[in-house]
Amino acid sequence: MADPSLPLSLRGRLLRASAVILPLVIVLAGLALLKAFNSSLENAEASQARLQVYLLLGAMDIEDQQLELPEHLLDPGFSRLDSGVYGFIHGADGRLFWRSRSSLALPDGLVQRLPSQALQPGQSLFSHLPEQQLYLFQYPVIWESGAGEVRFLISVLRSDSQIRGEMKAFSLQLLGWLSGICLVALLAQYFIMRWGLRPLDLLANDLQRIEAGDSDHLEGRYPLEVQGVTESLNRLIETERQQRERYRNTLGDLAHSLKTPLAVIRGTTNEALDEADYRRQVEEQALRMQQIVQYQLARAVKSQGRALARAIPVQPVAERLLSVMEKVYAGMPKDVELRFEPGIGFSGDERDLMELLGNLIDNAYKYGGQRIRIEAHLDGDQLMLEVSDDGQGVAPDQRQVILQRGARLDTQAAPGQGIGLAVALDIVSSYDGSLEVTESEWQGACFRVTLPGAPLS
Amino acid sequence: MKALVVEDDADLRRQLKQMLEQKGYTVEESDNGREASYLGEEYEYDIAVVDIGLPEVSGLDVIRHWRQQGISLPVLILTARGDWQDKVEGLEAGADDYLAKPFHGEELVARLNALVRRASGHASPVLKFGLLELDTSARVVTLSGDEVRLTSYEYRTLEYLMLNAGKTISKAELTEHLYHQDYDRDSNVLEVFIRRLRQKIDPEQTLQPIKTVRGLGYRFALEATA
Repeated sequence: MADPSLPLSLRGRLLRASAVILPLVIVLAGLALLKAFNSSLENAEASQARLQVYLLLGAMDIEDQQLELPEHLLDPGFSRLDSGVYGFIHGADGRLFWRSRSSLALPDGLVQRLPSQALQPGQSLFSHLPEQQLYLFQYPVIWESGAGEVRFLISVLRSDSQIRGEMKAFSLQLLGWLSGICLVALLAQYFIMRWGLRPLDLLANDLQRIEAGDSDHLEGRYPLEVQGVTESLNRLIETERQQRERYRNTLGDLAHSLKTPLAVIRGTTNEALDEADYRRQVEEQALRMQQIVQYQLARAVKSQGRALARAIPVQPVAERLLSVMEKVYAGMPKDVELRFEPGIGFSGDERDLMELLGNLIDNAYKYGGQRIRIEAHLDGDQLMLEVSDDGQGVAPDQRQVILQRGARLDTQAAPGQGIGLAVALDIVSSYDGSLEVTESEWQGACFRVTLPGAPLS
Repeated sequence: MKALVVEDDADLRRQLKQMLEQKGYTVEESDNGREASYLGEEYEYDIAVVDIGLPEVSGLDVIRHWRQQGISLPVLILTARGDWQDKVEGLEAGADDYLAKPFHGEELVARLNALVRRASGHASPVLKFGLLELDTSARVVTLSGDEVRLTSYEYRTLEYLMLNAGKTISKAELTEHLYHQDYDRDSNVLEVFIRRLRQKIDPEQTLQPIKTVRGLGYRFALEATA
C-alpha cells in the first residue's frame, strides 16, 4: 500500500509542491522589491535634505559673532508652520543659534536632543527617527571670520509621510501584481501537468480496457519516456496470454486424454475378469495415465521458447548432464566424446536446453552401444547440436514414428515407451528449431538439433 | 539389507516399506528431513530412499548434510517432477540414482539392489566367487551351476556376507542388517543359520567360504572372480 502521508497522484504531488514553493518564492521576491524601492526613496530623501542644508549654508551670514539668516528663505517650507521641513543651526557648544519658523511647533525634547559632537567636519549623518516620523540630516561646518573660526551644526528634519505614502501605494500595487503572477503561474503549472501527465491517464485507461477484456494490448501512442514501459507491458501481457492459453490447452488435453484410460478402467469393473487380469488391466491403464500426465506436465513447465537476447553457455549444461549420467549408469560405462566449439551459447531457457539434451543423452545411454559423441557448433545464429551413438540405430521408416509417440499418447502407447523424444521435439519446435533422426557414422542413431544460438559475450 | 525410507506421504511410505520388506529389506522410516538427517548420521544403513519434496528440510538438504558429514550411504531420490533440471540437482546434491513418481515397485527394488551392489564394488548383478555364484536380481544361488535352495533369511545372510566379502561382520551387525527389529536376536539362532548355510553351499566342506572369526563374527573368505 502507498504511504498515506504522501499524495497519491503524481499530479497531486507536483501541485502540492508548487503550491508551497511558488508563493514562497514570490513573497521573497516581493520583500526584496519593497526593500529596494524603500532604499531608493530614502536615497532621494537624503539628497533632498543635503540640498536644503546647502541652501541654509548659502543664506547664512555672521556679524559680530551673531548668526543671521534672512526672514524669507528660498525654500518656503522653512517659513510655513508645520510644513514638514524644519531647519536648525546649533553652535559647537550646543547652543541653538537659529531655528526655522516652521519648527516652532516641534516638541522641545526633540530639539534639545539634536546637537551632537559625534560628527567631524566633512561628515554628514542621515537617519530615520521612526517615533517622530522624521528623517534627520546633519552637517557640521566651520565658518571662518575675521575673529577666527566658528563651528556650527546644521540640521534638517523632513517628515517621512511622503515616503510612507509612496511605500504604501507601491506595496499595494506590488501585492496585486505578485498575487496575479502567482495565480497565473499555478494555473499554468496545473495545465502543463495535466498535459504532461496525460499519457499516464491514457495508459491507465488502456490498462482498464485490457482488464475489462475490451482489448488485448496497449494501443495508444505514447511519448518516448513511457514507450519503454508500454512495450514491456505489452510483451508481459502477451507472454501471460500465451502462457494462459498453453495452460488451458494443456489442461484440456490432459482432461481429454485421461478420459480414455478412465473409461477402460470403468469398463473393466463390468467385465467378468479374474483378479490377475483385472490387476493387469488397471496397471496398464495407470501406466498410460502416468505417461500422459508426465508428458503434459513437461509441456506445461517448459518456457514458451522465445529466443532470449542473452545466450547461455551450452557446454556446462552438457557436462553437468554427463557427470550425472555417469553416476546413474555406473553399471554401463561409455566412451563419451564432447566436441564443442568454444564460446557457443543457446539463446533460450537453460531448463529447456537441459531437458532436451538430458533426454537425448539418456536415450543414447539406454539404447546406444559403447560410444557416444556430443557435438555442438554455431552456424550463423543457429546452434547445431548432435548426439550420436553406436547402437542399433533407428530404421528409416521408424524415424518419424518415434518422434511422434508422445503426441499420440492419448490414443495408444505401448507401455514402457518413453516420452523423452516427444518432449524434446516439443521444446525444439517451440524455438522454431528442428529435430531429425539420421544414422551416425557408427551406424547407430544420430539426433540432430537446430536451435537459436549466439556466441557468448 | 537395512534401508531408510524418508517420505512424508503416509500411504506411499507404508507401500514403500511393504515393497522393500517383501524383497527382504529391513526398513526404518521417517516422515521428515530433520529426523532423517539425524538417523542417517547415527545409524548405519545399506541404502536410503529419499523423497525430494519433504516439508521444512528438503530431501536435497538431507543428502547434502549426509555427504558433508562424510556419510557415503547410497541414496535413491524420488522426484515428483521428473524433469532433467530436477534430476541433475538431486544427483549433484549427492544422490546416486533417481526415480520419478509414480513408479513400479519392481523397478524401485531393482534400482536399490543395483545401488547396494555398486556400493560394494560389484558392477554386475551376479556376484561370482569361483564355483559359487549369487544372482542378486533373480535372488538365486548356484554352486557349480546347480541351484542351491536357500530360505529367504539364508539368502540374505549370504548376500550380505558376499557384498562385504573380506570384511569381518559382527553378529550384532549381521542381525541388525538382516532381521526386523522384533525378531529374536538370540545369537544362537544366527549360529544355526550359518551352520545350515555352510552345509548348503559347501556340502563337501572344500571351499570353506564362511570363516568364523573368534569373538568378532564372520567373514566371507572367497576371492571374487570376474
